[in-house]
Amino acid sequence: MMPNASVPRESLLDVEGLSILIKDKRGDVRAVEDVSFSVAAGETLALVGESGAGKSLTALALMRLLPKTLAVEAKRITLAGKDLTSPSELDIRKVRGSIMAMIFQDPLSALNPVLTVERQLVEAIRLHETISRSDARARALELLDMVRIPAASARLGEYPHRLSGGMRQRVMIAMALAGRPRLILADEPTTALDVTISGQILDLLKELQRDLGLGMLFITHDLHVVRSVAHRVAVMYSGRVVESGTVADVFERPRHPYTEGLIQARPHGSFVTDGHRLREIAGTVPVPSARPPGCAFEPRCGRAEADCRQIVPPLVLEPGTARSLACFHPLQQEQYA
Amino acid sequence: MSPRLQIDAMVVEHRTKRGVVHAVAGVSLELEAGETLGLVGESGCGKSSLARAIVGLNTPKSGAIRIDGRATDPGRRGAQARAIQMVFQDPYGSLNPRMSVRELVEEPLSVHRLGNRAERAARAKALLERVGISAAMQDRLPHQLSGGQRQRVGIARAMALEPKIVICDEPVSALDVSVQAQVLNLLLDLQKEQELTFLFISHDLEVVRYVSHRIAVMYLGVIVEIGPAEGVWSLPLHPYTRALMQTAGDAERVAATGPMVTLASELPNPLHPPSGCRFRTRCPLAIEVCARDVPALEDFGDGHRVACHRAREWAGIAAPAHA
Repeated sequence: MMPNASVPRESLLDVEGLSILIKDKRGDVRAVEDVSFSVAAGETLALVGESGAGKSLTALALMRLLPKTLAVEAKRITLAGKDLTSPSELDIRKVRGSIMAMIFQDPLSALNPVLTVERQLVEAIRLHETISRSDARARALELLDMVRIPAASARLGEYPHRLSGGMRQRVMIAMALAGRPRLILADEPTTALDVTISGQILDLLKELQRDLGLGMLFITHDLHVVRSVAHRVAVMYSGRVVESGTVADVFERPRHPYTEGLIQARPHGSFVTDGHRLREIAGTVPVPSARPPGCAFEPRCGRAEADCRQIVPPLVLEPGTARSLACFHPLQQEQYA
Repeated sequence: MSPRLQIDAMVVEHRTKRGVVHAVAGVSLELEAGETLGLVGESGCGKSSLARAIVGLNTPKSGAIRIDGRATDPGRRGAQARAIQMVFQDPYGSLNPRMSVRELVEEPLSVHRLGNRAERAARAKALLERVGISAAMQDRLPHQLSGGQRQRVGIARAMALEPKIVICDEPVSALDVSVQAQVLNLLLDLQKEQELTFLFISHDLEVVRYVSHRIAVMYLGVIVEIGPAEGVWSLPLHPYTRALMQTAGDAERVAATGPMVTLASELPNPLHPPSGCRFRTRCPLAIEVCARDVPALEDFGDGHRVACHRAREWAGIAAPAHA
């Protein structure tokens, strides 16, 4: 079911003008450039795009988990009223885990392989709360129940490799919830899972979000997943947001040629019965160091004109709508059938 | 006329420290020339074991493979290699990182001693150009290519021996959406040009629906449903197929054609598959008989076959769509 789009907006996370620089002797390269978005409590914003778009880097930048070779610049970042534009290590430690927490694609590499589920959960809980070991254990059980792990007490003694992929992902969600965060950054949390298990995890995330009123920044390349979990979507291409709006609006009436291309490139129907070819987006995503001077999508775009080759189109809010668009020659509403 | 590819009662076992896994527990399939059979199922269901046994990368415990009616020796890779080729999910893992693109495509030709050096070079060049790798890129190494380009090289390599049958094992799963469309279009063009038979394995139901004439659904080593693609898509009969379709984002259509099936648990231990119907431990519709008797593939018309004791109960609900 499509999540209800009319959620009251009390902004939890505000990001304005976020850039991520790859430090290089031959000159810095901007992997992510001038990205702005916000996430309200109880709302899911999906960051969608292909590999190299900068989605994961954006999440890691918010958590300040980027390697030292990458630098973060921002005009403004606020989280639950706290200014995190250029936080100290102490500032970020106070919010990481307790106000915002992250769920990764591969729980096996994010969980400690030599510690039991109990040890890891208790450690995460006691990092954020001063409680006794036995109270922490009770809280750990409660967390495993929250993420619907059957026979939770029996699972506490298990090591991560003994759990199935779906169970591991549930444990990681429990870890993320340990510090009672208000914002979850979920980076492709279901990509490595089978379709049946991925459905279960998405349902769980939706339920937790609703019950706990969480804000969620959900990173995915899968348009299906966007439809199923998100209220709003921001489409990223080569380091920039090119279009954003409510999921229903953007998917039904995409206006950026890249968004439209992404939707059209997905198989729909049957080649065997009706013989239609998939619409390709010719070429590939440019690497950050070799982006064209104008719009990064211009070399692959059928609508590009002279201005697109010279000037980077800024992301502009369409008057009277909830849609933002970075395109000089967008599709008109009626052009998309 | 005999089918292009016939798999008869294939059994593949893997020996592990904890016992024998029956990865493929008796699978029979027939594919016609120019036909695509889509094969779907969760990881661990045995679809890759089946694929690898068909190309000769696994030795099956029992079962026969016939190409155009002629039996091949399942233990001898060479016998099948020229007729059956495989396109892998991860071209990075299946291409030698030290060989240039041109050498990679020449390699199968020299292994099979086809043509002289100049002829092989010319053939490799033509194959690469056919899949969209320009002459300028043919001296590059695999790591100098994008994921989509690497998959094109993998496809050129598979085509080098002019196979009749190509096993495509998740050929677009590792690629970005826009590149997936390019590779799918290429595969379908090649199929048309050369009347290729495809066994197309994917976890992506919409991709499978798009490319397939027929779809087979595999669960814990057995085929639980098989039939014309549009039939299986519009009227999935096996509870497992219904669950897959439901999670693929088409819950409303599933609801209109019978019971909804939500899977609560995960794939059981393949070392000890359940008695009777292998799906029964996850099936909300399971009844007593399901634990006792192994359901046989039963024909529901139009070659749509289902192995479920209860499928008759809802097969009538949306039957007109099937006629």
